[in-house]
Amino acid sequence: MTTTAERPFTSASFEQYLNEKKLMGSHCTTCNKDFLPPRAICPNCHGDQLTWIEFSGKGRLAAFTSIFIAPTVMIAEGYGRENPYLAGVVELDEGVKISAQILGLDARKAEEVKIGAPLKVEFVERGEGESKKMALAFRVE
Amino acid sequence: MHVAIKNHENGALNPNAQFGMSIPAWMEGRKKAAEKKGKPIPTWQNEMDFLHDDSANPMIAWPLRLFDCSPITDGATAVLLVADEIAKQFTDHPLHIIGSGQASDVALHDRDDLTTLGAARRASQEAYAMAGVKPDDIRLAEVHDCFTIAEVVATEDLGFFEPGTGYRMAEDRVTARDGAKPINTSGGLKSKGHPVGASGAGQAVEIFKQMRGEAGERQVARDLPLALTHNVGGTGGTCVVHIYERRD
Repeated sequence: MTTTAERPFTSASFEQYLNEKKLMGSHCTTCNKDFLPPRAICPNCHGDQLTWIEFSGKGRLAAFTSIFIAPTVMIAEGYGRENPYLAGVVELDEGVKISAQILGLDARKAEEVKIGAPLKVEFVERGEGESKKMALAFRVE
Repeated sequence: MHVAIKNHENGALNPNAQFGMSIPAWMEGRKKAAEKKGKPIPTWQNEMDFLHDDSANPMIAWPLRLFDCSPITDGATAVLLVADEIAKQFTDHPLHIIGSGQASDVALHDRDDLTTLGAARRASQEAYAMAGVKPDDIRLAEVHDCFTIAEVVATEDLGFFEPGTGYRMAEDRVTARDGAKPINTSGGLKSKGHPVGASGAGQAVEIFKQMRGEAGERQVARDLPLALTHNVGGTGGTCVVHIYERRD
């Protein structure tokens, strides 16, 4: 078992944390900026003194679309032309943004979805057996 | 939607286009096919009627429908690129690349504003500065219309139109072949096709033909001493802009 401090700032670590139902990013101790997903080198000051940081998972909808022609992974989940889903960019209370599936709103009524809607993180189980993992989503509060 | 109408109108005159058919011609084809099969004949009154019909133009990713999206294409392009000094050995009328700009950007979700591509703004500013010209000097452009909205945003990022006004330009015929600023006379990625690796050089081919008066039926009727190409990678993570000059 890898401890928190030992995990490298990679997308694999990010996904490992999602499987543990944690929304983790990196924090630059030099310039105080946060990054989600985590970055190993600070894109702001180019420093390499970063630490893991857990985000509250609370935020607001910044942008969205409703997807009718779905990628393979979402077709496997039953989404598609007859059952569209919402994907969006969420601005967390901490100020960082991330893209994820948006739950709890009617994807068929995209016109009624409001930018700024309050959201809370949700970890959605996808796939079976060895390919089973948690996907990042946000639900309307 | 007007960007799709205009680009298909241009593509109909391009023998190399993948979907080289105007939208009115498309509508006629669908009506005839319905008649042949004994199905109810659609009653679209005009192009916008057709484009708002869920069965004819289904939603892909709201608010973009099928006719807002460029297709998946097989295609190839070749460009002969040589130093200015020896260009006349190959042709009496070479074009000269007088400005070139490249820029990149952060991931899509990290951007402050999704109504502009920062990479396109920076790449075009670099190209304009190198060429010593202004957006208003450009007579013709091929831009990366992977989706109809991308053409609108591109024409704003390139400084052709004020932010928030680009959407009107296809409807008002400003960007049509006989307009003040023709955009995507080839049919663009939308109608000509989007063979990803060949799409950018394909833009240079159209500019080459237009500036030399060799674009056949879709030839722009005005003198074209300066033109521009704008190509985008990913979701705007990278952008390349070139400015071409014809010296008579």
